[in-house]
Amino acid sequence: MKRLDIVQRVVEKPEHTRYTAKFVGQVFDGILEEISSALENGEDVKITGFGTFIVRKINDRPGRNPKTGEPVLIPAHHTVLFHPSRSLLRVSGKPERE
Amino acid sequence: MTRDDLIKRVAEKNAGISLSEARNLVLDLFESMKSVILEGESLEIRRFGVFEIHHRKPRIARNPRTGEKVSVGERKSLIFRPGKILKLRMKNLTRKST
Repeated sequence: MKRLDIVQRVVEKPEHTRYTAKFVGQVFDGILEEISSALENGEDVKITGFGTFIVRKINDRPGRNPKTGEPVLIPAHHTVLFHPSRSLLRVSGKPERE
Repeated sequence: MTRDDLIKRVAEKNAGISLSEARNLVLDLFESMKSVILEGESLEIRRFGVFEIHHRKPRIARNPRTGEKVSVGERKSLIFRPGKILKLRMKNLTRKST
């Protein structure tokens, strides 16, 4: 399941028949680029109805080389967390309360 | 950055479409991503990352306030793992902030 599946589903919708798959693909790539560059600049990205991408700083911490067991320092870095929106979580099967 | 900022940027970048057309396209692309994730249990987008549904086993937990045991049923959670390119781009942020 990849990029093409996503684009294909949008192009197949009757209201989007005037767009080519190529164009919708470009729009999709543009969206990913906007999100990536905002994150790269340290900005969180909140997509209502989908989820939030959060930039998180990870401090350096001691780790070990799993092969040799030798202690190494894992340097501080930044990573991206994703919190799915409620609507995405609900359909992905949030726990049913017993 | 919010969804509306994203829609504006998409409309600016694609001269051929109006703001409301950009809006419809962006919303439908995210809807499409949602359904692909939920049906396929995972979605890999090259240069960006992977969305995956993880199954968590049922377990016995405790109510932290009362110490009472509660059973937590099997549940699913959605995680996002940034891809190689996005990770590399996050290094720019680390470099800038140190």
